[in-house]
Amino acid sequence: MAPLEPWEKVLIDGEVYPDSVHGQIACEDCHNGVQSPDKDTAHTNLIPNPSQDSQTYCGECHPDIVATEAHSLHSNLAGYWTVLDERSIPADHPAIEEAFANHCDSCHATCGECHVSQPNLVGGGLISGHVFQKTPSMTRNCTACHGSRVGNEYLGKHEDLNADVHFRRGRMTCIDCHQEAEMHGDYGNCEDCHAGPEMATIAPPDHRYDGVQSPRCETCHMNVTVGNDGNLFHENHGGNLQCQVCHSIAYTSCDGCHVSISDTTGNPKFATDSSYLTFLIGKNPRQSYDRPYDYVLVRHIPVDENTFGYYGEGLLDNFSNLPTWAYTTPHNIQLNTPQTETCDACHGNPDIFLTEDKVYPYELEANLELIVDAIPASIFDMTGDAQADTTP
Amino acid sequence: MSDKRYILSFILIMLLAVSISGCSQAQTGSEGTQSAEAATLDESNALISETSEATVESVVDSPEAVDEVTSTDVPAENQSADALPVETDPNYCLECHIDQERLMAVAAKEDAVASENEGEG
Repeated sequence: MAPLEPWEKVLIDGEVYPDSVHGQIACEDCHNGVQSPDKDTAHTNLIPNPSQDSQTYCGECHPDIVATEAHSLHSNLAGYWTVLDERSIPADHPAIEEAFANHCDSCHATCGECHVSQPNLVGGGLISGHVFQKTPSMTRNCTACHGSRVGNEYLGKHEDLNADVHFRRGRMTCIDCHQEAEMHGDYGNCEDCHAGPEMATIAPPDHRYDGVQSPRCETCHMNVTVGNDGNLFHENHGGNLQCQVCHSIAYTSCDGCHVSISDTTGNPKFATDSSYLTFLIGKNPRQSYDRPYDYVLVRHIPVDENTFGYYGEGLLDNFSNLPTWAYTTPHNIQLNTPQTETCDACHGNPDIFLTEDKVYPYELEANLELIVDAIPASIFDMTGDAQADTTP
Repeated sequence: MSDKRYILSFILIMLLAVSISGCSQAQTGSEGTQSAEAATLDESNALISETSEATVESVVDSPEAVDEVTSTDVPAENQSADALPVETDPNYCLECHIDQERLMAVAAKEDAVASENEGEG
């Protein structure tokens, strides 16, 4: 996505915005500043992004949404701290917090960065002339941040790889699956469904792949769940394979993210050593009632022992406490994939399983629970059934 | 008979004179009102453009004082942009922010710093 010119970022639609609901509010009520023909004076104490204080500027009219914002991953970035706490020791937290403030905090998305402007992470800028959008733009908001993996996969930007069928055929946007409640951190009340004694045994979720899958494929594809669609694959694997194992194609993995401060501009920056396409099946590291699968797709995440090396040596002392290959849900779903062609596309095919030889030696310890020790045997080898090598 | 004609003519002339005088006075009064209104407007404009924040606030607090304030109340050297925040137009900012040409002329070029990140998103 090409960055906006400075003037484009602040150009207001003079025909539409003044008549909109938010256009009835005086500019200074949200943005501060003073009325003056001089630019610098007019921008005195300017608040470019008022919704950074959502309670003050949004909460008066949208109290129910602001009330749950603290639970939204877009707001609290809790996922970062889940893994950083696990990979580090408390003594190193001050240095990590400094790095976090310089590099990771920019992923924080305010109300306005979804509903009126592009995210600051990509330079900001008004989207529709300051007209607030109830539904954010898929390409200018969602994939502006979630671009190099999800966006490129979903929109089919990798050469020779189809876009996700939900986009290609259904023209579905992110919000069709990831709905308002999820975006706003309104996760509902566990006790609404778990009112009995079991309530005391349910640990609060500490990972985005904990708890009920939401969204989940079966919400729309119910016939697959009940196993009466006549598909042999679904009958045999419906419970032990994540849907994406059969219905995804190659997706992005990254290595060696490291952060620093630019010598030339003084701005925080980051770089990854490499980014490449993978398709690998691993053992499910998060097996649960809601994700009972034996096998899931895994991708290499960009974290590295020296990710925060600029801020100090050995800040990720407990680097191996978490795997570097992670349960993933690629957004490039297809009805037909190489895996759906034959049984032996997967059975007896070591190329598509995360085996020890595909893991960096210094990361073996961290990934033991995902590494596939024994490749599922070839159906053809077991039965001599030529069908196994053709369409089931 | 000639006396009567003379008296009648005198009365008609006087009536005509009185009538002309009345019209002239009415016209003069109208012009005077317009002039006063124009002066008030000029003074109001002068208030907006030339008075200090404190002066304007005092005027706003006591509107009857408007007529007493003129541009000569505030020395020119005391006038500054900082002293002009009193405007009530809720869309004041739009004057600049809907004007593409104007924004292109004044938008800060330093905002357009290229990102040095590799592998964003």
